[in-house]
This record gives sequence, C-alpha cells and structure tokens, in this order.
Amino acid sequence: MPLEFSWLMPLCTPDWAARPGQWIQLAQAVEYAGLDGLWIPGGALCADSLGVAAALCAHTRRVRLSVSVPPEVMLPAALATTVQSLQSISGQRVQLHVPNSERSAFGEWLNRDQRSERIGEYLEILQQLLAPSGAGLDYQGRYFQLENAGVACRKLPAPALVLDDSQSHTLVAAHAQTCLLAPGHPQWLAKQIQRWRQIQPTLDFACTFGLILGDSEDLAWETAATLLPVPDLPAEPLATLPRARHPLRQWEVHPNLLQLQPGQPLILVGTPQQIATRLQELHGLGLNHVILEGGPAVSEVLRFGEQVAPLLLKERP
Amino acid sequence: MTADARPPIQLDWFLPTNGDGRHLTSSGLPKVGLFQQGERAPTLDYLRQIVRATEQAGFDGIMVPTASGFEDPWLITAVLAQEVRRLKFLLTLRPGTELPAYTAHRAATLQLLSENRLALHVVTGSSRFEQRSLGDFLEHDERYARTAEFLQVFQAVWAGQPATHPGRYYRSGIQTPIAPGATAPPIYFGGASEAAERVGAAHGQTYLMWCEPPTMIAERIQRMRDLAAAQGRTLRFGLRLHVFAAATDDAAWAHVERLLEEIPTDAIDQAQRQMAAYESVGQSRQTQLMQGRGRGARELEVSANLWAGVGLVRGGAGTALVGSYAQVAERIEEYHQLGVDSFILSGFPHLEEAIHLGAQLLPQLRRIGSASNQAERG
Repeated sequence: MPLEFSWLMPLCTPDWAARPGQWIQLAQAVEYAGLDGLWIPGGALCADSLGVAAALCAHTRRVRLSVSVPPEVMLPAALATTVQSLQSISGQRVQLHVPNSERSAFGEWLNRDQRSERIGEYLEILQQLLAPSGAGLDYQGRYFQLENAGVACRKLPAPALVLDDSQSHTLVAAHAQTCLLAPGHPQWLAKQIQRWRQIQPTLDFACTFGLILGDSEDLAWETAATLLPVPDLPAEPLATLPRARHPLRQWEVHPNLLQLQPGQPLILVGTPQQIATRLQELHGLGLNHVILEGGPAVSEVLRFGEQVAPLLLKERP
Repeated sequence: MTADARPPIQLDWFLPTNGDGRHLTSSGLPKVGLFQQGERAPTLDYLRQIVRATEQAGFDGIMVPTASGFEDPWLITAVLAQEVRRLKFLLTLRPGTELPAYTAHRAATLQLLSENRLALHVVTGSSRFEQRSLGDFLEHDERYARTAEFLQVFQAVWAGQPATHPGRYYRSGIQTPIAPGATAPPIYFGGASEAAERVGAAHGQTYLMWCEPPTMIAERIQRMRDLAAAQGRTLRFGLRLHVFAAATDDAAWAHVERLLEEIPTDAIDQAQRQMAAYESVGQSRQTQLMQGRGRGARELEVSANLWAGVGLVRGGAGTALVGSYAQVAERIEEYHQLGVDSFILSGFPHLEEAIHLGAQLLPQLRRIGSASNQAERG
C-alpha cells in the first residue's frame, strides 16, 4: 500500500472562528492537489468536526474525511446514526477517529479506569451499530444501556476506526483499523509500530507531521525560522547531527525533522526531494498514513501535491 | 404595543429527511417496519433541490426534523446551508442524547457556516421505545425536567457564564467559549403535555404546536401566555401543518379523497396502533381529533378546512388545511389573529409543492398582517 496523506484542517487554532471560508478553500485545494484526505480534528477548543465535515461534503467529491469526535459528547447510539448519516451524505468517505480525551471540557468527570471501561462499552456499541445485523441490539453495561437499538440503521459500510496509541492494547486490537501514534523520533515510531504489530498484525499506523518546504535546503530552514517561535539557544547543542548551518538546526532530531518540544509534532523541513526521501523512510518503518499540517496552508498543499507527491509516485515500484 | 406592530408573518417549509413522495405515508414518522417507504430517497441530490426551491419560492426558513431513520439534522443543515444564501434552518434536536455544552458548541459552528441562519427546535423525546433504542431510559416527565436543565446549561454556555453547573442531569466542566461572530439561535419548543408546557413557558421563545381547530389553539395560546407571564416572560407561537391547496376547494378535496382511497384499511389500523404507543400528548390530541368520525375525506374535516386525515397514517403533524388558495389563506389569517406568528408548512411531494404553493399561496399569505399595517400608515 502506498503512503497516504491527509491534510490537517486548522480548526483548533485560536482564531478558527474567523475562517469558515478558508476551510472550504483549503479542502478544495487538498482535493485538487491529489492528497488522499482531510483530517478534521475535534474538541472543545476547535470548531465542531461533524458540522465542518458535513459542510465540506458540499465542496469536495473524492477526499476521505477523517473526523475526530470526542466520545463523551453524545451517546454511542446517537453517534452511530450520525456517522451513518455522514457516510450517506459524503458518499462513503468517512473515517472515524475517537480520541482518548484526557479530561472532558464538555462537562463530565471520570477517573482513568472508569474512562477506560466506559470507552470500551462505547466502542462495543458503536461497532455493533455501525455494522448492523438487522436485529435490534440490547445492551446492559455499567455506563450505557440500550433496548432494541439500531433497527433503523442502514446497510452502509462501517467507516474505518482510528484510535490513539494511548488507548489500551485490548481496545485498539479489538476495534481499530488504524492506530494514531503520538509524535516521536522515527526510531521511536519504528519501535512503537513493531510493538503494536505483535499485538495486532493487521493494524495501520498514522502520525502527524508539520511541513515546511523550500526551493533549497537553506531557504527551507530560513522559512522555518520565520514561521516558528525559535527557542533560546541551549548552552549545549541538542542536535544529533552537528551540521548546524542554521541555528534552528540545533533541534533537527533526525535529518530534515525538526522538533522544538517533546510531544509536539515533528516538522519536515527541506527541499521537495529531501522531504520525499524522508517520507519514504517513514513509510519503510511501517507508517501508512501521514497527517500533514503547514502554513500558509493552500500554497503548501499545492506545493506538496505538485512537487513532493510526484517524487513519491516515481519511487513506487 | 398595538397588534399592528407585530412583525411580519413567518412562513417556513419542511425538509423530508427520511424520504418523500406523493402519498400521505411518503414522509414523516415512523416508517420503520410499518409504512411504505417514500418513493424518493432522501439523497443529497434530492434534498438540495427542495432547499433551493424553498428559498426561491420565498419561504423564510425550512424545518429540519429528527427521528429514527431520518438523516442527521445537524449534518443535513451544515451541508444544505451551503446551497442557499437567505433561507433559515430550523433544526430539530432531542436534548437527551448529547451534552448541552456540546450542543451549544456545534450550534456556534453551524452559525458560522450558515452566517447565523440557524434556529433550534427542541423536542424532548418520542416514544419510550425510540428513546431506549438511543440509550435514554428516563420516563416522560423526567425527560422534560432534563430538557429544562439542558436549556439552562445551553444558555449559560452561550452567555459565557461561569462554567460549573452542579445539576441533576449535567455537570459542566471547563468553560467552552462560544465562537465570536456566532449569534445565539432562537429556541423553538415543542410538547403538549403539562410537563412540556411548564418547561416551554420557562425556556422557549417560540412555542410550536401541531395544528388543531382554532378554538383549541386559542385555548392553548392563552394557557401558555399565562404560564409564561407568571415567569415574567412572553412567548411567540408557531403552527406546524400540511397544506393541500388548489384553484378551487373541489379540486383540493378531490385530491385528498384520492390520497385516502389508496390507503388500505389495515394500514390505518396498524398506524393507529403504533401511534398509540407514543407517549406523546400532542400525538394523542391529533388522534382524538378524528375519533368518532367516519373515514370519508369530508368526515375528517374537524373545523373549517382543517382536515385530520393525514394523521390516519402519518405520525407527527397529522392535520392539513384543505381548500382553495383563498380559503387556506383565510384560515391561516385566522390563526394569525389568534396570535400565531410562525407557520411551518408541508405539501407532498415537498419539491413540487414548494414551487406550487410558493407561486399560488405565498403571495396571498404575505398580505396577512401587512394590509392592516398599511391601513394604519395611511
């Protein structure tokens, strides 16, 4: 399988509310540039992912819509019917990401064990209702109960489910087609992938990366310096590769991969050729799906589609 | 304030998101396992034509319903608001299945996507069996108590009030700021039981009713006005009804006679049994209108031009105005004089009838209220 690319919609920036027109513009650019999908994040400080996904159905035809829905906001049977409806409206382009919310901002408190137990029940119901057998579902859980649910569910393909790597092994193995890995150094990602494959051999893997392209390597790093808040230089060099032509390269943790803070997405910085090479390497480690973010978004999307994607195609056997 | 200072009459249409067709059973609630399917599936390609026709016909808005087997109203509104520029969307939601802070949050996103064309229609629940299939096990009156708390939290989130709400049904958490630029959607409230009336009077802005004879509507308006006044509030009123209008009243009645003839008797009995299972006071009021009456079309005329025949086989709104364009307009004017400012109309099929009634009926309805305004101004 070739490496797939989704573009992260900027729905969680502080000024997201000013941007509905730009969401549409960006979604159309992503489809035009030939990327595989849109990644539509969700949460209390973001625009509503389901609403944005539906609105984008009016403006796109082909791209996959990966929609993040925090599970605490609605009952699982309600989410199942909503997701079926989105499958229908979008022409079956939905992939569902159920994030592992640490603490709900929408108003609900459970401890970690309770959350784990609750999400287990939630996913079990969701999965059964998204692949309806025709018979009504009765369910008696600690957190959720149902009587004769799903009789109105339609025969639509269930969307692929994405779960975070912070979720329990059992849950990921039982429910997820794709595991969303936390950002990390390629070596760490490779280890994670190997570990998860021992648990569930057919699992796919996704991870988010920033993208900063330049016509030359130096230009790319200069652009990075203008776009990013550059931390004060540390007393001792952090970089594993001592070739710091640009001070920012102190934080180049792997060739063409910049990480300013642990936990933040790594940023691909370089020429189209360098970035294509790095993506090939990530693909080789077992990554199936790269979620890209960058700004100014439309120009980066087109540049990626026109200058990076063809190099990857060429290298495909 | 004089009666002449009333805002113009509001005329909305209805979006059949579980299918549409020419027959009485083609849209509405519930079709699962009982009613024939609408001959037109609720595909995006069909629904977007209805929305476009509704805007071009001159309606102010469109009601987006919800029930088991219907397309999701939030998604349909988000996608169809992109198709038209002016039309408002009256989105039906059931408070029991999601958290109020999330509802506020998704309403705000929809306001941004639609340039503030959203209104919310709060319906507390359907039958016990439908609520339980969604995971909601509260009984009727307690569902309304939860709706009251839901609307309190919803309004508090929208007003940016302090976030902690240690309620009986909801405990809100961290503050979720509402997007700047989004205006609070008007709240329409449906429900005919005593519990519903209390909550509607306290939290609704427009109180919606399925159409009943004028004397019954007048009584309900008075009761709701009193309940609201006791809380220092005023309410607006709305009616939901179907319309079968033609150039002559004979033609309109001949049409509904044909619609009635095609329905087998056992389908009526089955539908009535199923509707009896709803714990809806509004539903039983609709059903009672036709009790003790024959099944001939004119026998079901329960007040001048008001026909209860839709309710023989269709759950939900079960009454229609049947008659010439002028008669239907007169009846609507009478309801307007009783205090109803908002009318949500349906006709079958909803695409052709939006165009038809937009051309023939709407111009007459638009004169309601405005004639006296003009007389006042000289």
